[in-house]
Amino acid sequence: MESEIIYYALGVVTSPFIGSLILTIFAFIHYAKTHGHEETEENNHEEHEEHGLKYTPLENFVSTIGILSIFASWVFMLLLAIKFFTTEHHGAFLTTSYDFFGFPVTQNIQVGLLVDALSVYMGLIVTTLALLIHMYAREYMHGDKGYPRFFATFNFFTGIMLSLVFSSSFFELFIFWELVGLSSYLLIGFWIFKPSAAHAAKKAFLYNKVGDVALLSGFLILYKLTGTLNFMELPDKIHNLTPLQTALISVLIFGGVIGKSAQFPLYTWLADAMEGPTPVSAILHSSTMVKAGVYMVARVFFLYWQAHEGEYNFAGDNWALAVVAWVAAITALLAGLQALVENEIKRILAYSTVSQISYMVLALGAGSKTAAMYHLLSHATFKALLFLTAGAVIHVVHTNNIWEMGNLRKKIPKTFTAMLIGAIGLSGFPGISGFWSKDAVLATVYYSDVPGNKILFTLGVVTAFITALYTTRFIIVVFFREPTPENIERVEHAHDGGFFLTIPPLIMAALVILESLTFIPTPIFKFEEWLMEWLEPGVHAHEVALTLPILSAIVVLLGIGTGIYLYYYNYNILASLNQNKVIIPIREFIAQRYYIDKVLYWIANVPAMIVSRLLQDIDIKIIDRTIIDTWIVKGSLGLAKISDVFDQGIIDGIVNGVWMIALTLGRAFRKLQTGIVSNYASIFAAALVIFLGYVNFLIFIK
Amino acid sequence: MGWFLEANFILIGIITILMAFGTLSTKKVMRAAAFLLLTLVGVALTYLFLGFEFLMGIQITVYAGGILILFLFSVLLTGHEEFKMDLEFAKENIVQILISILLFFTLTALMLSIYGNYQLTGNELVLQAQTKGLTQDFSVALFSHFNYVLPILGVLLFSAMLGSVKLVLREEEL
Amino acid sequence: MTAIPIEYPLILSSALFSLGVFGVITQKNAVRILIAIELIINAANINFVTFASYNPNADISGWVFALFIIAVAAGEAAIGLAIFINVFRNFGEINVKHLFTLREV
Repeated sequence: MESEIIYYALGVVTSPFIGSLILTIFAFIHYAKTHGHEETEENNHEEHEEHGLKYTPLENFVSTIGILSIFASWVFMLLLAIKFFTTEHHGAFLTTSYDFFGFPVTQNIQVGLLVDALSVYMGLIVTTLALLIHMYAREYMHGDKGYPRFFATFNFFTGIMLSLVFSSSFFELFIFWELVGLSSYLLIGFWIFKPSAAHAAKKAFLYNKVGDVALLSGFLILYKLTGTLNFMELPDKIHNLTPLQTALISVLIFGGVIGKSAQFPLYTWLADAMEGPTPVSAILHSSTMVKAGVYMVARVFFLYWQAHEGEYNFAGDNWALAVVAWVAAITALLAGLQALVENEIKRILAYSTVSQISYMVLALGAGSKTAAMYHLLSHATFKALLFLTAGAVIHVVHTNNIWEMGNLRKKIPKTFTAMLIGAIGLSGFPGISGFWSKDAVLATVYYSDVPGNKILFTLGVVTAFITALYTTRFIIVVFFREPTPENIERVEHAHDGGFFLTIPPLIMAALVILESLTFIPTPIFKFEEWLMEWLEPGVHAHEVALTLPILSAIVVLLGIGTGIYLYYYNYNILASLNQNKVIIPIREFIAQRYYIDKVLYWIANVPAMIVSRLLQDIDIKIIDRTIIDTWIVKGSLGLAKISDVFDQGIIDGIVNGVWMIALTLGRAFRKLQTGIVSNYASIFAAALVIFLGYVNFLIFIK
Repeated sequence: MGWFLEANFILIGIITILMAFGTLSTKKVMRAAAFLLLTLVGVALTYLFLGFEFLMGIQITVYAGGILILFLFSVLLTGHEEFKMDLEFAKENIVQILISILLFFTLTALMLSIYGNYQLTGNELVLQAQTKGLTQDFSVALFSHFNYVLPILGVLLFSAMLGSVKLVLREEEL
Repeated sequence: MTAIPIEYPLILSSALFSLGVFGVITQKNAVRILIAIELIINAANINFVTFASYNPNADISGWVFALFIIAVAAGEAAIGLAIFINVFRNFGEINVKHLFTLREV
């Protein structure tokens, strides 16, 4: 039985890579053939025909390979999930692992596959959504010059994420963590001819790196202290750590999450990442990249909570969870507000993602892995759906700005239906999937013992209101409001996309509805309890008072009502609000992303400038003025006096000597920067000699 | 028997070093490649003395057979200027020569002193005589404990192959 | 059977290494530099094999590494030579003393 599960897991992880490998070779050959016809803005999409949707043989081949490999992975995942969830040992780990080289230094560093409830659950989400998004990408990327490159990278990305999900040690997880960063860089900057895309990719990469440094130092400290990085061994080893050590490590690891999952100071890259193609945004936001952080915290949740005598308690002064919860709550609110003022449809969804991920992180901070993974499932589905439909809308209207659309519901009925279902899920409409999971998060926060949990709960409720408001806003503006006169023509020609542009979103919409039905708590089956039984065996959910769901429902309905009132019935109020002198600066402040980018730039830039200014000052004031102007001038004056006494020839000799030395030194130093490789190599070899000599010396004196 | 092996090893070592020097000092690049071949064979014989006949095979087939051909072709494809290692060369490169000699001495001193330290602990390092079944042991290890090595090498060489093909192909050739 | 002391292969390897470094820092022809690099790699390989062969625990990882290094050397030679052929096409020569586009001014 175990070996079967391992082989399924291997199949899940390797199939996307195999697809990616085939496509890479193919893309390589393809680009070698079309070398010299580089992708530019002009010639990209040149053969794109709206009506005659005809795939070239190349596109057929590439997308078939891409989709098939993900499909294989999905089938393996289904088999694995069925096998796993029908076995009896809850939370049991089944792994296969190899030592990573046989060095004594890397003892206990293993690579392998870890199959437990968490990874199976996550893997199921990733493969299902990736499959649908791949199908969608088949039509969305139609006519793009980079078709093979896109699918090769996309498959690679999916495979990397699945490998991350099934990692069995921190070491392995970090490798795939970095590779996720790399492949997201490739995907965000997919349209390489666009400077903005290149910039966004760079930004995403660098912002992630900041967090990754924290993550790396966090788990290296962990390794130093416990001597292992394997997820299976760590829970037993961390008992020896002091609470301070645990808290420090946890917060450092959370630093990685701040980068990858776009939390408060480092979240602005996510909106810029919208420069990538829509399928990329969909997969990035729904189930892969940004969820990696949430997944990792859930994976090492035992660090944040130390188990005592079989039940979870706040471990002494472990303030790590409070940090997590507060960062998340602040991010949720800030990003929600930003989604409210944003005009581009994909950016609205991006900020909405930030805000919703913060809900998950908030649930983790409040101490419930279950609530976080619960919300992750519902959010992954409807956010992928929303991105796909938003991509379809952009595809047919050729604009990103919601104010240039309008009244699209009759033009693109299929897309509209799907998007409406997704939006209802996102807004947390009572009874739909988003409502139940959000409610679980809020209830967790309410009953947790995180410092200030009532304030956190209030922030969560306010965010829920804002979520409902901005969801209603973009739905009404895009689908119900009459378009402005200059945009009527654009909207007139809109029509639903082809098979692959409409069917995957509709399947996702069906999934949202299915989830909503599953999530409804009935006396026989409660999804949350079922999930908790698997993810956190031995923990029991808090009995939730009925007032919480009712409060949440009222808040959401209020938000939707406000949205309809403001954006549909009484647009004048909004117009006058926009003219209001108090509102304008606030709007501007939010639209400028709270100046976070500028502050970060300042932080990165100014200290370096200060140091260099300081050095310059030292140079000018101390060296130039004091040493040269005072001592050397005085000294040379004295020398001149002496020169009266001594023979002229000696001084001439000295002066000439100084000149010679300066010239020789100048020549010597100039030679260092010749750009000739041999000289650099010589310097390198000389440094090697010095180093070896030093080591010899050390051994000798020993 | 022992002294015979030792003498042989010293002889082959000296020849290898001479050939390596020849590689660097010879006049034409083509001859340098030929000297490299002899050096590689010398190193392969060293492996044999160290009891690792399998690597000797690899060394001769992959290095002497494969890489050297690459060198020959690249010598043919690039220009070759004559090169002379004479007094003028020594004058020009006096610093570099000094660095290399110093490097040799420091490196040898370091390795021998580390080995000496090890000997002080009472352990004598002797060549582990595994003349029988060594290749078998090695291949068993390659397919059991080190089973990831060959796939990784495959990926590595494959990407190197793709990369070099991409680099060398000209646009008009396609 | 053995009477070869461990010093001999070590001295051989350091001699090869120094010769290789000497070649890298003095030669002008890029192909010759690559040949010198091969010498360095061989020196490192001899060291690996030596310490693996003299290891009392009969540890085999040194040999695996030696195999690894040969493969890496093959890849490195292929890529390096491809680059030099490209350089030759673009500059008309592969004398590294004349290729100083790395220099700023």
